Amino acid sequence: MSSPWPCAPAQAAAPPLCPVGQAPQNAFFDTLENPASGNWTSATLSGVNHWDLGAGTPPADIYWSGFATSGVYSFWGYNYDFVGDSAVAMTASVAVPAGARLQFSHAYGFENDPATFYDGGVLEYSTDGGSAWTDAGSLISAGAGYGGVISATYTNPLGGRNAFVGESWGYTASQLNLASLAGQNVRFRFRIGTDDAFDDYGWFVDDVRLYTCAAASSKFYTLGPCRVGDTRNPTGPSGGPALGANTTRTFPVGGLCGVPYTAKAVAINVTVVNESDYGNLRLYAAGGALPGASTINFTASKVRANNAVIPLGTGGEIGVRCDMPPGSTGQTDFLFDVTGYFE
Amino acid sequence: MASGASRNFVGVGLLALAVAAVGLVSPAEAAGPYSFYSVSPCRVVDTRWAAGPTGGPALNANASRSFPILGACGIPATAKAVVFNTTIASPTDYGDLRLYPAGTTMPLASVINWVTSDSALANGAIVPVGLSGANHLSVMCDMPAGSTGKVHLILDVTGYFE
Repeated sequence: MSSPWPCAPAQAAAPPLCPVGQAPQNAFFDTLENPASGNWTSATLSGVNHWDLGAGTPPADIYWSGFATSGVYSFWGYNYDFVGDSAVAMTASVAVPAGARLQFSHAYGFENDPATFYDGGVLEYSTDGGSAWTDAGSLISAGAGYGGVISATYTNPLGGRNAFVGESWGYTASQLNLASLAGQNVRFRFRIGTDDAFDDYGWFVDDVRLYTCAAASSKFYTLGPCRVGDTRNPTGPSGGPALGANTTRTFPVGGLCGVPYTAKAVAINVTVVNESDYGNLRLYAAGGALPGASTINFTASKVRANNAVIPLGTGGEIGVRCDMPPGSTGQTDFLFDVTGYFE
Repeated sequence: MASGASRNFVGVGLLALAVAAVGLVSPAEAAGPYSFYSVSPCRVVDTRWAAGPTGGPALNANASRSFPILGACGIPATAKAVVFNTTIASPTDYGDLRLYPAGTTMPLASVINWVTSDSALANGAIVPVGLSGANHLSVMCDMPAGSTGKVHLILDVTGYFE
């Protein structure tokens, strides 16, 4: 599934589909689990086709099983050691609503060395039913973006173009702001260009979604009061060490104490104890921007508690920032109890 | 006739009792039910900011001040109640704050209490919002009678009900 490749350095973080408190409303969403859908087709523009590796008969042979983010199937375009320029494209256009975004999950490894990107992949869109195609790289607003220019020195048909290049180190995601395409009928395609030497993993693509974000309401569910995390416990994801001055840490909430991973927010009681300096904590949805809003203020060596409703990040986690005076070497223990969640 | 008059008398008497009871506990009309919406934690009022509708000056002893809340921090104008974290800072006297919907009668209920040595103290609360001019939330700063104290107020939001 979506595990990183061995020894992976940091990947580009998959961006949240929508801001906190909003949910996606799909205009097009394909998890690529139905090879008979007819939603996609591959085209060879020159040289080899990279995408026809699956078991089915065309066009279903573009569905590859074994390295998907959702379900079983994804697209896989292999980075051949032959000259080629080919794409998988949507077979129908989608009317783009105002405020729309496109997000897709992908993993790639294209032939490169430290100085040169030999092969790569680009995302393109068409507003005329698939005749003319325009590069969509400038619309990428979050997640993995184009990483460099494919070398024009060798035989790559896409030489000279900005592209997804090098390694993604496992699955990540890219999000596009489609504001400039609102009101048009648009289709997208994933296009690979390779030169005449050396192969690589290629490009895996899954979960292509064109959508808008709208406010999503939730209902309250009570829980028996339960301690979710306590830094006085042995070192671990929900335990020690104590929070250090001016550092940020994430704590898992979803999956603990009866809080489902799908919960949008939790009702918690936050306690600080063993503070060695004064300060405050900021709790927020993990993965989001650090807010300017605080949850609890404290002075040294005085136990304090406060209740709060805190949104959860996409992984069901909260971020906790421990603010103390600049240069402080202080720390505080932190524990939090849940009494209910919103979903 | 006699029995009818008797029933009326009993009815009026119960109504009078009910009015008296409502008068004692201060009126609280139930409304709803409402659904919850999260927002990213966001600072909506800070009286340490430059003077303005959501900024300075600090709250004065035994005075009420109203703030605009809706339309900021992702909270729509149609929200009925807001999830606040109420923080006080740098008080010069002890006291408490009462938060209540703008345009309604001030309640007896308080949201946070402090002593003068509390340099910063916070409490979470869900408070309904109202409308009075451009303002949605009123804050009464209770301090000892005759006090000339001040306290800074910081309001952070993490969600709303609608």
